[in-house]
Amino acid sequence: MGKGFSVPDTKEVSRMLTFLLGRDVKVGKGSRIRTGNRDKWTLGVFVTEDNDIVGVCATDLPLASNFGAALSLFPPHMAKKCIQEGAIEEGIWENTLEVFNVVSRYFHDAGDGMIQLGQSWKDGGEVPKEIKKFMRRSKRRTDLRVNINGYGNGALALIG
Amino acid sequence: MNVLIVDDSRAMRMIVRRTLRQAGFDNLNVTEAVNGRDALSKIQQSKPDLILSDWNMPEMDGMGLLRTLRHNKVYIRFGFVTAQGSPAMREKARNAGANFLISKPFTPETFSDVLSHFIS
Repeated sequence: MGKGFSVPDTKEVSRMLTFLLGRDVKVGKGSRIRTGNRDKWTLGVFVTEDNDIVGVCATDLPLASNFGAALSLFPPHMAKKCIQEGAIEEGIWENTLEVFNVVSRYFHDAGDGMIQLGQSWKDGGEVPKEIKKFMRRSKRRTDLRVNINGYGNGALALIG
Repeated sequence: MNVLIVDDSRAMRMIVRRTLRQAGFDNLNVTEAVNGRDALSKIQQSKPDLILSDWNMPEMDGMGLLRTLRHNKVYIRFGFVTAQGSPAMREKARNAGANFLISKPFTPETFSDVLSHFIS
């Protein structure tokens, strides 16, 4: 059995994202991310080699768009377009998933062996039943407000 | 010196290239592959002296690539550049014959510290 998910502090998440995106990223405590039927959210699920869920990372549409654009140094207006249109363009989403992949580091102690990014969702709507169940039962979570310099703000939740 | 970067993320391949430059490794011939299988097909042509490979990739992952190389007695220097950085995964990498493991996210300083032992 793994040791479980240990919630990273805001400084650590800020440091990690600053290294990854190569620009200043400020992270503070945020309000609980909205994942209702009518909300635009994205989710990445972290799983063991046996496909057991050990963690979830959720963002709102602005942060997912800004993550994806900033990783490849796409101009900020590309992220803004996704936010305005309410849909993340495929090339940007591919990068957002790479950010989720790196976020998996926070869940490495949550299970045995390799922990990796499993399924992901980018269009909001109804959270799949088993993920909703995991999120409801989870004992540890942190909801964060993230500002990517030059791109903008968004919401991030790490749930384990 | 020839370096092969293996990662399914185009953005990450670009970041690895950029970080190599920022770490002061300027005079490298860099080739890219999108997964282990693609890397195997490119190794004969590009003749890399060093492979920097992601771990989790579709079709053939980095561990599959490393094991295939070592099984065929190909001893090109090999390092993982991966989100997997736990002690258990580092040990697994070492046991399979990896020379090093750099955990994402990384800095030019990390690249410089680790790769200076492998890049002349």
